[in-house]
Amino acid sequence: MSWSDDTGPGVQSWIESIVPYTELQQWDWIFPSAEPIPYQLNGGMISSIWYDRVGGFDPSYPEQTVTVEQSTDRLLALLDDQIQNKGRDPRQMIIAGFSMGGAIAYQTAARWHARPNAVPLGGVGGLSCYLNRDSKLWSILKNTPETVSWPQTFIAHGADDDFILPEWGIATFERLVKAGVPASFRLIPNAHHEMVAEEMVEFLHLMKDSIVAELEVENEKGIAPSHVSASSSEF
Amino acid sequence: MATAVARKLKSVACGLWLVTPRKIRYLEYLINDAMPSKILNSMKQIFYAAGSPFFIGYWWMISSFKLLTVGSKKTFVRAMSTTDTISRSSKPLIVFCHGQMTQVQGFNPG
Repeated sequence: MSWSDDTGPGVQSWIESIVPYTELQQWDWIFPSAEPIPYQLNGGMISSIWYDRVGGFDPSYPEQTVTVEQSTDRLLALLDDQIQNKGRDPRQMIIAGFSMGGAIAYQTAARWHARPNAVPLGGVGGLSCYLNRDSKLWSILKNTPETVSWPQTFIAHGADDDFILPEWGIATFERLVKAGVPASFRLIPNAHHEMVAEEMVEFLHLMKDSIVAELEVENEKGIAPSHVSASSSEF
Repeated sequence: MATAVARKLKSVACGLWLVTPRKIRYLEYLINDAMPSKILNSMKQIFYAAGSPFFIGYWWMISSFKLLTVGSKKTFVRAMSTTDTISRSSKPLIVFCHGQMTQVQGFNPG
């Protein structure tokens, strides 16, 4: 078995191959690509990754926060661009990802909701992913104003994943819940480190429900979507 | 003789057409829409365990199934062209971030 870097178009092909067309069509999709950076776990080779890792995959290794924030800055700018230039409502925007992409989705969502007067996103999704124990995200969550509520977060992990272990994903889920994130967890039987149709469809349905719920709550409060200022980004 | 050779070449060309990655992707759309996911996943696991060469057999099988199910080339082509365009409208948006790696051979990107 050989491996190569994944990119936005790569995961787009994958999702298009497993998600039923009727489900795919109900959403707009953006598949950003990570900025290629040196990857210490691969001998410093330039790789299309969202953040660097040093030591290994185990969650006990230190997070390389500087590289995490280079990516979250780009993803936040992408979300801002959708609001400012495409006229989207944050409550109808989901950020999600698979594996390292799931972790960067959590990281971006944490920074989004830590902004003063942030309008919550429509939902968050993390598939087959985990966060380091010392991740800066944990302190960001602690300092997030109580007035800003995280949206529904869907987390799933393959039960037979021997690359990113299910217990790492479960530990992250439990810690997120403890920090006040409304998350649900699904262990996918017979799945390795992969996305399967079953979890993707469940994810899309939950996100749809979450968006409807968000809009109802916000409409009751009479809150209009605010436009956050930031520069746009090209992916 | 010439007709027989031409027919043979055409069938080979059709075969190659069916197993290109892009076409496989479209076939997957169609199959996923038509076949219960539990059956599909079980089949996938069996062929996955059997090794890469068997994937082609798998895709041949599901494509035959789908062509029988759909019943007409016209429907098949229409499904392909509509799935090719993911809309950019006022629908809710998903920003989906890729993983670190993808496997070049096999199904399970990392």
